[in-house]
Amino acid sequence: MKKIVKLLTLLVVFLLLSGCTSSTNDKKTTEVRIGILQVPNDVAASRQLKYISNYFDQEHIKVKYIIFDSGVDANKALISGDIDFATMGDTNAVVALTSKIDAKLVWVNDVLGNNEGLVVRNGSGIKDFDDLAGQKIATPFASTSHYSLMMTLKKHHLLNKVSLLDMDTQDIVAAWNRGDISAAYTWQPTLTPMLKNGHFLITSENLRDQNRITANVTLVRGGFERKNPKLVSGLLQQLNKAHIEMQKDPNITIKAASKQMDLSYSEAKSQIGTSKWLTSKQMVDDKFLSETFPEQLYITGKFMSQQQTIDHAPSKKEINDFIADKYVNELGDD
Amino acid sequence: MNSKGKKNYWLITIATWLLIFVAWQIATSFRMVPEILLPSPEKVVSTFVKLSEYGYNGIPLWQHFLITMARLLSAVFLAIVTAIPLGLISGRIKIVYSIFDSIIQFIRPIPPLAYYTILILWVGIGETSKVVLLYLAAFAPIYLACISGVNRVKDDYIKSAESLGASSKQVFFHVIFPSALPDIFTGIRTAVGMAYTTVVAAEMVAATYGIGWMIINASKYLKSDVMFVGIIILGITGVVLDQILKYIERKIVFWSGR
Repeated sequence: MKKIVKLLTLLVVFLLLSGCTSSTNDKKTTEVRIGILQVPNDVAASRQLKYISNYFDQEHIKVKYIIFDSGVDANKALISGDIDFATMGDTNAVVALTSKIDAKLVWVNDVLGNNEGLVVRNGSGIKDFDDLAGQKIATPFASTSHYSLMMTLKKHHLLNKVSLLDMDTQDIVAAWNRGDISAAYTWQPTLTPMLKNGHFLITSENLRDQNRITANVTLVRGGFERKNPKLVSGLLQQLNKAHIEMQKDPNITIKAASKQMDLSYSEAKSQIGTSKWLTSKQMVDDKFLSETFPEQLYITGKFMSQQQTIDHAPSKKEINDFIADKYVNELGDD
Repeated sequence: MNSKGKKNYWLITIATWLLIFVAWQIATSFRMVPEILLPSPEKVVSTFVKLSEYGYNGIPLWQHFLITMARLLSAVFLAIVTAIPLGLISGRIKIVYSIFDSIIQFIRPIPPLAYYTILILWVGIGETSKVVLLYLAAFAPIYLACISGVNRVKDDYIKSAESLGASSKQVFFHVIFPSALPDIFTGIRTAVGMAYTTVVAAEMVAATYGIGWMIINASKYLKSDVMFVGIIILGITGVVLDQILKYIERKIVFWSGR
C-alpha cells in the first residue's frame, strides 16, 4: 500500500512539474492563429480583401482564425498559448495586463462609437437615467460595455440602485425578447434587433465625447512577439491598409467587411456606426497610442480596481510596458 | 469511508493530502508555474480572508454561500416531497409505473446543461430556472431508489400483515414505507450529489450571486485565487453535506445494515 502511495505522489509531482516546463521550441513558425470577434471590423475587411492571406502566403505561413464571443475567452487562449493574436475590448486588455499574462498591446482596431450603447425598451417608462433605479440591466461582464455602463451609473449615482445581470450577447437578446430585462448595455450586432422596440439612452460615442474612450485592441502573445517581430509588423501593416482605405473610401472597406461577416452592406454600415478606425499615422501624429490611450487605460484600470474587478490598478509604467507602440511607430507614415 | 477502517488507512489519507499540499507549495514557491495558472497556498488563504472580510462584488462571502445552499436545498426538498410519493406509488401500482417510468428514464441521463437554455426560455432567468434545473437533477435518483426499495420489500412481510387484517393503507405506511426507507436515504444522498454537481452550471447564466457564480465571474477577470477559494469551499461543503446526511441516516434508519 505504501508503495502505491509513493508511486502516486511521484506521479502527481511529476505531472505538476512537467506541466510547467512549457515546451519552448526553436522551430520556425509555420502557422499563425488569430482570435477574432464576430464583428465587421478591420480584421474582417482585410481578410476579405486578401491582404492578410497574401502577406502570410508570401511568408509561407498558414493563417487560422478562431472566433471568440468576447475577450474573456481570448485571454484564456492567450494564457494557454492556443492563439498568437487576439482582438478584444480594452477592458479585457486591462485584465490581461493586471493578471500578468505574457502579452503586448500592439494595435487599436477601432475606437468605439455608437456600435455600443445602453438600450432601453420603448414604453418601459425609462426616460432618464434616474428611472433606471430598481431596474435589471444586462451586460457582458468584463467587457467595454460593462465598463461604460458602470461609468454611466456611477456618474448618475445609481451604482447600488440597479441589479446588474451578467449575460453573453445572445442571451441578452433572448432575455430582451422574453421581457426579462428592459435595459442592456451591449454591442452590435445584438443592438440591431433590440433597437426595433427600444432606443438608446447613451452610447459609447457620447462617452467618447466626454473623454471616456473605449476601444477594441489587438494583443499579441509574448512568446510570438519576441520570436517573430517581423510578422507582427507585417500583420499590422495589412490592418492599417484597411484603416487608410476606410478613411479614403469607406465603401470598399464596409463592403468587404459585410461580405466577410455575411451581412448586407447597410447592416455592416450600421454595425460599424461611428466607430473610428485610426491609421497608424494618426495614432502617431495625435500621440494617440503614446499618450491619449495609455491615459484612458490608466483611468479604466483605476476604475476597475475600485470596483474590485481587478486586484490592483495598473501603474502608468506597467501600462507603458504593456503597449508595444514601436510597431505602429514603424508604420508611421505608411 | 468504512468505520471499521484501521488507523493506518487514515494516516495514508492524511499523508496524501499533505503531499498534495507540499507539491502545491513547492511548485508555487519556486515559481515553476505562472501564478495565474496556480496561485500559491498563501495567496489562496489571504484571498479567502479578504473575501470573508470584504465580500465578493459587494456581497459578503457567506451570503454567496447561503444563496447557493438555499438553491440546492430547496431543490432537493422539492425533489424529496414529490419523488418519494411518486416513487413509492410507482413501485406498488403498475399503471402509475408505466406512465412515469419511461419519462424519467428519458430525462435522467441527459446532462442538465443540455436543457438549461430551454428552461431559461420557459421560466426566465430568475431563481425559478435555477431551482428547477437542480430539482430535475435531484428527482430521478430519489424516484428510482423508492421503486427499488418497494420492490425489495419481502412478500412475506406484506402477506403476514394482510393476514393479520391490515388494510392496504396500513400495509403501505407500516410495512412498505419503513422497509424502503434505507433505499430512500441512499437515493437522497445520490440526489444531493447530483444537484450539487449541477450547482455551478445553474449559476452560470444571469446570476448575480452564489459560489458558482463567483467562480465563473472570477474566471472572467482571470482571478485564479478567487476561483481556487470557490472550488475549495464547494469541495469541503460537499463532503460535509454528505457526512450530515449519513449521520441523519444512521439516526433514522438505525436498523439498516444490521
